[in-house]
Amino acid sequence: MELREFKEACEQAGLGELWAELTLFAVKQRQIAIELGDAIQTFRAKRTELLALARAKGLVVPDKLANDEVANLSA
Amino acid sequence: MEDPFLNDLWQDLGNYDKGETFEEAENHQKETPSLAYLRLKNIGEHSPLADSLVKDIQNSIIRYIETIDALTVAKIKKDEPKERERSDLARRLAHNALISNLNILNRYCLKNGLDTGWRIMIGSDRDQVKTWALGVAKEVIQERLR
Repeated sequence: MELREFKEACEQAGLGELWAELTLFAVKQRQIAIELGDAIQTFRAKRTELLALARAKGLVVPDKLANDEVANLSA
Repeated sequence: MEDPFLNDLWQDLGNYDKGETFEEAENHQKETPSLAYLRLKNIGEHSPLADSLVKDIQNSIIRYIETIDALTVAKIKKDEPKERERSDLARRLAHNALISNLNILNRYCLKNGLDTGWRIMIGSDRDQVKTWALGVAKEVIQERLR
């Protein structure tokens, strides 16, 4: 397919190092996206835990904190 | 994340420095990876247990992709052979974990008379599982960002 052929053509044209650099940045973007996903999932789980414990202790949870949109604060 | 060049590059990272061409990898996966993934995800609605098995698969995909990326970086940066070996072992273990989790959900489906077509679509050999995982990784990652 074009990508692999293009990569080989780049390498043959002496652009192999630049290709490798580009790949490293592609990896970095995916790593950051995964890390952000982990943070969002953990945030939601912790928020659920906090709200449950707060309610169990008889605290009144403000509506806007119980709203799902809070989970998107990071967005 | 709607950069087609980046998408192709991400899918190809599993084959970095390997003989298999992107076209060969694609041919392993005639069916769209997303369709098998969608069918698999629907099973999660069957019960809380099924839901947790689907989540295990999603997490395994992410962990597997992370090890592929780490190995790619090790290859590009020409890490010591020992380091690369360690990265490769981590990748292999993550691959095994993903396959095990797919098989666990498949057994659950067989036992409960649920759809198992998704497992057939993914394929049984390791390369097919890899190609499928790379194909749906972007979808899985984006779901966790929503």
